[in-house]
Amino acid sequence: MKYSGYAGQVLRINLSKNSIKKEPLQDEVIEKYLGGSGFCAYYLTKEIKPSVKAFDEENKLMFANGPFSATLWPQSSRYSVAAVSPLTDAWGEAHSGGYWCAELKMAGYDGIIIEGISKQPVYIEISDDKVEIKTADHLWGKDVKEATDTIKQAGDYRVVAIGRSGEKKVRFACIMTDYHRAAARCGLGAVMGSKNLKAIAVRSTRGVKVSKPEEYMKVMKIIRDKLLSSPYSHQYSAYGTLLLPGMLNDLGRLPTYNGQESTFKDCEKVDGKLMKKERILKSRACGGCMLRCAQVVNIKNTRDLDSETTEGVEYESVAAFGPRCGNSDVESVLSINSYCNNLGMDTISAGGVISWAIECFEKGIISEKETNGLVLKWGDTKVIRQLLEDVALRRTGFGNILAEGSERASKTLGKGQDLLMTVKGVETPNIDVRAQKSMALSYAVSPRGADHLYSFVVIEHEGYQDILRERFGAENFNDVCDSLSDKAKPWMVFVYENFGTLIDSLGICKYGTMVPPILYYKDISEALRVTSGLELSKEDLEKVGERVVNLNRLFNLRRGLGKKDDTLPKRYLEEKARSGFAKGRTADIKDLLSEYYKIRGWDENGNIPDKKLKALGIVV
Amino acid sequence: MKIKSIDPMKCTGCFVCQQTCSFSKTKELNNKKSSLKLKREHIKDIVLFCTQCGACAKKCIKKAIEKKGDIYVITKKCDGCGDCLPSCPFKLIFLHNGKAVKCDGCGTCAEWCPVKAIIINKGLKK
Repeated sequence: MKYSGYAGQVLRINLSKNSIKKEPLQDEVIEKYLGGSGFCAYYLTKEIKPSVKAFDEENKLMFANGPFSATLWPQSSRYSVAAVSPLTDAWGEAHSGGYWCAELKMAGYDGIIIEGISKQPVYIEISDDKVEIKTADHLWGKDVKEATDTIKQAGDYRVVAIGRSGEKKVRFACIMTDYHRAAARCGLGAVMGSKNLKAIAVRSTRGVKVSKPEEYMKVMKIIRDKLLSSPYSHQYSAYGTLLLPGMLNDLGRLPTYNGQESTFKDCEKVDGKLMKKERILKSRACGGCMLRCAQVVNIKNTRDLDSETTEGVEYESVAAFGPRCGNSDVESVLSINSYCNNLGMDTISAGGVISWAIECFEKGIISEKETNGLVLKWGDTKVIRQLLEDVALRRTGFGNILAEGSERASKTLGKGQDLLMTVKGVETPNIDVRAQKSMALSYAVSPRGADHLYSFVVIEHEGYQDILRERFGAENFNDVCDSLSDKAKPWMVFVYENFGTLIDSLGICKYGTMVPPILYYKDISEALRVTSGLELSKEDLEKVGERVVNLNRLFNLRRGLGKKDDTLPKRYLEEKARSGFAKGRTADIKDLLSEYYKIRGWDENGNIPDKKLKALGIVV
Repeated sequence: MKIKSIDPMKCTGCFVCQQTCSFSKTKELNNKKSSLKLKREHIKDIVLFCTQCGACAKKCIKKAIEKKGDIYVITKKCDGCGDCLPSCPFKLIFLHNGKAVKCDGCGTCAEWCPVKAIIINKGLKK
């Protein structure tokens, strides 16, 4: 292998055949896809047939880190995991921080491809070269914390694990990393569960070599200082994303009561400002991260250092179990979030499914007959917790139906279709897109269903004016900032989707690069040169991102998805916003969509012409 | 320069100190080969660091670890026998390329720590 910064091999484990293989990484694959999301897109598009469904034996689950994982890039421990998603039966991908990603690289692997289905519950134990498939009888039935604790008793392992909901194949189960970090979206925990794989434990003794050791520290120190001295990094270090409830409420983008309202009257009760005063104890970081956005928060209203805490609470989780469910009790939000993580479910989808059920109940579309006697009510924390548990464990008839995700549930019940807040079967994250056109388009076109992270165009609402001018051009500044107009939005999404997938392909975090927007192509280019010896210009790097976006699109097109699926929930398309900044408006995306296809070089139906694939060097 | 203290409430557990320590000593990024160890206890992130106690120097029969100022350093006499490794109360000495490596007070960890949790005693000279 020509390049440093890589471990140089991919681990291929077939659970049906009980076989373990180590495959060398090809230089050509590195040059085209870099790692992380790029590797997942490359390997899975090549290896999974379009007819394969999520829980089939032929589905493959791939974990991958990138060239910057376990290095001194200021956020360097974030892996990608991908498979056919149980929610969409199309491209499923999630990312997570923690320490596991760096450990995997140091143990000597750039990725793991899991194939087949094990007959019995197993977990995988990796100690450098030694890889074993071990029985997980003692772990099965345990939640994330217990299972991780049990594995760690045997040694200093870093662990990714599923909880009981993953075992039960809840279609939005997640994979938890080192207790608190979630590879949440698209239900990849259920894919892991369907393979009877409980956990992957890794420990290493080796290191990562870089291409220019004599320059390395100097170059990386400049990048580190740039991040830490930026006035924009402070908010993330002190609050993480916890100031967003207040901020989005002011902008009228806070989905409340399953998105019926765009502002929440009790918003300040779940906002980070109050949390900081009452119960945030300290900041924690993922491996190698200098930004430290994860907040350690006491669940009870106390500053007691020995009280029960929850770590890494994010805006999305607070919004999902708070405003979206009409709940303003912050203590219950925190404890439900912690419980949901431990059970191993995506908080966004879990909150989405529950809030959909509550709205259906409140409107009389479903009754106690369907809910097994549960009376659903906005903000009833006991019922929310009860329903969460029923869903995670598929315990009641209603829980079992909701565990399939809200879109499938509405089909089974034959009710509530109009109230669904889903795109391609995935519950929407918590941004009301009627008040943000760029995000409306992002939700619609993201290959993994409703997704705020694929393009992550959120920089215009936080006031990074100088950066907006730098990244999108001073001449476009007014259009970029006008979040209600269509102007410049398809292009913004195009630029940031390419950048975002590049970030995911490098094995690093979107914080520090996309938001707060501090490090950009030039810094990446320079760091890649001293880390891996790859000499890639801004244009080359943009091309990598574009290639991965097109490959993700191709994966879905082959499965019959297309323009008809690039849409939004009916509520956002047809119902006028009742409150906030976008009051009286809907999110019409028709023009945005055709403009976006044009910029991408796709045809009017969103298909990729052969010549576009050829130009990007994608061999089908 | 000697590490004076590392604040377990400030420390975020990011292991940048370990990675930079390891790189400055071995030219590799390997947090297992570093003179610092991280331990997590509930909300505290405890970093074990070399206090320059000299237990290793006492243990070395070849007299390969010498005191210079307030720092114990490993000299050319070291043949990498590894006898000093268990003597360190925190097990912070490791072998690399046939030599023992221990904290020589270079201060790289403190320079890189993003939250300035590592306090260095600058008053005393090497």
